[in-house]
Amino acid sequence: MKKLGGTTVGHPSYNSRMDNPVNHTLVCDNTDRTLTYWSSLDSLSPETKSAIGRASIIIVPDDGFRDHSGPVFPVGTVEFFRLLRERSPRGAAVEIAVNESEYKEVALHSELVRLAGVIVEYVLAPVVAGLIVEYLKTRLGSRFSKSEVEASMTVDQSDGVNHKAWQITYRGPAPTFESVVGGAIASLPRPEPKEAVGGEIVRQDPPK
Amino acid sequence: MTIEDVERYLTSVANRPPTPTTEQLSDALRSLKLAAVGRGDEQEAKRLWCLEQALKVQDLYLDAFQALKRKQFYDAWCAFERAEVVLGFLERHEAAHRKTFRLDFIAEYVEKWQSLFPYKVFFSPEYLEVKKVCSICGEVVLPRTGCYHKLGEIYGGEMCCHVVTELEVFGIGMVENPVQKYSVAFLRDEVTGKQRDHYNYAVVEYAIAGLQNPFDHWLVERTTRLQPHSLFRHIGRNEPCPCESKKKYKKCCLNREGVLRPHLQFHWSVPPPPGMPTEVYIP
Repeated sequence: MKKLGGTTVGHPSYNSRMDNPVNHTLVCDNTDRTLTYWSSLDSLSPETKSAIGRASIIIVPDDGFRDHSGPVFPVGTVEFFRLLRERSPRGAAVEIAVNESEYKEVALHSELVRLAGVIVEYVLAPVVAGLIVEYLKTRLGSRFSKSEVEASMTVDQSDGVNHKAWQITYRGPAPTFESVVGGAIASLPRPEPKEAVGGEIVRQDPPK
Repeated sequence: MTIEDVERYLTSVANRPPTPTTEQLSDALRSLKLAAVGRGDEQEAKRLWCLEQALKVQDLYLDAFQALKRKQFYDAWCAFERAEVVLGFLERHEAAHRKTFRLDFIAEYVEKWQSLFPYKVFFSPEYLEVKKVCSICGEVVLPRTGCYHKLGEIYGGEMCCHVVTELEVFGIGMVENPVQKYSVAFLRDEVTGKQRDHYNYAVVEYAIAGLQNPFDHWLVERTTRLQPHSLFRHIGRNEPCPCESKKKYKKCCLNREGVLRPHLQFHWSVPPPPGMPTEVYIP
């Protein structure tokens, strides 16, 4: 596990919250849950699998919650999913790893804003980080500057032969999400250049 | 009554005339909105919805202020919370009149009042939303299928909400930063079995005593002051430290020169009534 900057802090008491800036935690870890992993889940119907297989951005569920064993998503995931679909670059298909009839959301106690995890192709990662901030601004309005968020983004660096990905988990103030997670994406080891048709070497750099 | 009449009334919130009453205004707005919806004028219906919400926010803020004056603190807290919620609904739709209707002022002062309350622990449910429907068309809300209505947008003069029709409650927790702030934890009286309000509202009482008008400006400065240990002889070594650090007294301030206690300094734009104490010690 790779810890990138920030410190872990407890929640300041509610009434003094406005006077206490909350630091962030950022954890970057290897994971085998790549885009391919999610498109081959047995629990998904053939139609869902097929749709997910074509996607380069996938929203993924938590593995159950309390006594409930099925997939669950944090409250607001429908709106998050629709925003990603509307705003993602043309050609980047967005999917959600659940059968439509099994979709459920979980509402938790605290004011902490939890987002569903997102798996994304390496080249799209900075764009998706920006879209997450856009969603947070829409959802939180003027509370954006004071809110704390928890979000996880898995950057897929699979090259067709090797399946590998980095899971970046952020918890901290909403306004610093993009710069902190953007920095983490930029610091990931670059994938090996892959050979394109005709022998041309293509380096997969994320767009600036 | 026209929209312009209503806007004039909302602009004069700091010195509202006795008539028309809020009820008369609400009725007028409802009629105007129905007429706009009947004409298919979505923009006008939305404008009227905004005015309805602005009126609600103003009323809730004034209700909260009056409840504080009557020392009905929890009622005031709930009115502030409802005002905050409605302000949240209104935020993305109403920008033009935020200043003239004093909505910016109310948003700022709701937060200020909330910060003075002694409530620190809240109950909050944790649940699974199995099924929810759109409040505009009744369709089930699902990611890929479902209606085109957007959560929080205005259609036919009403805001689109998601109504949870099936849920499984996992539990109720005690939290410091709840999603909604109504569910304050109160104690139960051991003899009568009834809920009792055990909180110390001295700070809120002090602030409201200094204000005559709900739209006067005030601010509170938060610092600390060193208090002698002699003030805390009644507190045991193993009890929570009076500095509110949540540590034991013996492991916190007891071995120091004194206890560093929170100190609040109020500043008023209009001088508070004569005879108001300039300093109050709150144990």
